[in-house]
Amino acid sequence: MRRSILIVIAFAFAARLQAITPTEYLLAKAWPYEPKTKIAETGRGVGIVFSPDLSVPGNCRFYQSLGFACFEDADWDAVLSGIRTYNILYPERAIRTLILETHGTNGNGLKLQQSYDPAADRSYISVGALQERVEPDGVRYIVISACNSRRLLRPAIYRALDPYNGDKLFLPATLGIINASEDWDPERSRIVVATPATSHIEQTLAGTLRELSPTTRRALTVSARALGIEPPKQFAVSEMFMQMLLRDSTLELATNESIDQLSRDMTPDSRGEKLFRSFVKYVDHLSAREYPKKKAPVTKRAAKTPASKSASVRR
Amino acid sequence: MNSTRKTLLSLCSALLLTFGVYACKSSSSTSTTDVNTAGLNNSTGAYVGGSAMPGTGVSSDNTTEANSRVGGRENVQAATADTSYSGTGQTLVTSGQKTTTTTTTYSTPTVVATAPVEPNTTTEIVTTTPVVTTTPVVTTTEVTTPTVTETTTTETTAPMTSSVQESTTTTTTPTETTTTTHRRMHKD
Repeated sequence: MRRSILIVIAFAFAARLQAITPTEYLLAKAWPYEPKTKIAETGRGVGIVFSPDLSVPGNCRFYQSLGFACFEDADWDAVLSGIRTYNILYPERAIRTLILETHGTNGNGLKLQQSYDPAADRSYISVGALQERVEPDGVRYIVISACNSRRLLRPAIYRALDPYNGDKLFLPATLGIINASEDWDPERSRIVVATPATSHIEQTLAGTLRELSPTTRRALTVSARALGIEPPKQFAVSEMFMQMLLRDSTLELATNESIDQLSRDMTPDSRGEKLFRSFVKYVDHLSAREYPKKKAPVTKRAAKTPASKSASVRR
Repeated sequence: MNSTRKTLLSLCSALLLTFGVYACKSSSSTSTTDVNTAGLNNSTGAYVGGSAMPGTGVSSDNTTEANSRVGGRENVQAATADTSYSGTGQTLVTSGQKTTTTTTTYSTPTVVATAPVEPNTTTEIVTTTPVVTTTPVVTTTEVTTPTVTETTTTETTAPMTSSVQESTTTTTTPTETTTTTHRRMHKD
């Protein structure tokens, strides 16, 4: 009798585990879903790094208003220092997950740049170096939303990038290249690096706050003022970020899996637009739940209804 | 003691009997005033007739007066069966002394060609100007952009006063068709 009960329980657990995909499991760990989260707490524990040329003015203020820690700089050193400072200053909302909205340079290095001008501010970092530098700060998950991100995990460039790879996109590193130290062992790292399962060119969309509902705008303004920052006016959001936030079933993440093949595939624009609409809807829903509309007094309504009916009859 | 009890019982039964008879009488007299208006057969819509259908224009009060006598025949002329209209409807039954006249209008659905709605000249027009973003598309892939038709709804509600009727004007004016696309940045 006891054995049969145990078997039934084991089957039930197995069925549940089978229903959860690796992506869902990873997201649940890296960015736990809080059903009753407030709009200003949406990004709690998540840091987001933007390459300046993939951003819009005041973009970080949008993410900060949503509760994210946001960094936007062409210098990786400045970004790493920012992450360290943030986790020291705000231990209660320390960054555990880092989302990289950066270039992948066709899978040759994580790139932050001001623009495509060869003389513009630009720096590179290897995945290993990033792990080495942010692990002591408490970061446990790195999600790379860059083009051909799985190529970045190739053993040949995992620790140290190859500046002579011959790729035209590998523009001069005006602010340097950061590689992992000689004695750093990737096997000992506790950080999980996640990339899209399929390599392709990732896209970021630029939106304005006018596209959000008045309630959301108000909620973001309240959140921004509480942080002592100016309310945002526009924002840049990547397709992958939206997929993660919306727990999109089409999103497939892979962990620590490298690939050699370079992909030129690009997602259709319609997909991005559809995701954007869902993103706006989701954020609006969050704010509407937090700031519900006040109902009009019943007595006034009761007095108004027959009058309006009679008016329509008269017409 | 026993005899007193018997007397009281018989008295009570007599009283009950009296009241019972009276109640029966009053209810029967009320039932005679009922106007059984003829109605429509629900399934066919044909006029099925009924007892003493009041004539057109005769008020229900008159009918009640005519039927006030117990067992008396109704003093009104039976209306001829009206089979001119069709459709289904609920049989109207009115009872009691106060009857209400209910007019049921059956109308066959007709196709009405609606004229295009002209923009209403209202004092206050709220116009939403959609943001049209022209995006320099750098890709060679086929671009499918969703078309969103934006409409402007103007609603003016006059304040309700004792002498002014409430007027609600709702005008739906199609302004323009915009294609919503967002500027894209490729991570390469």
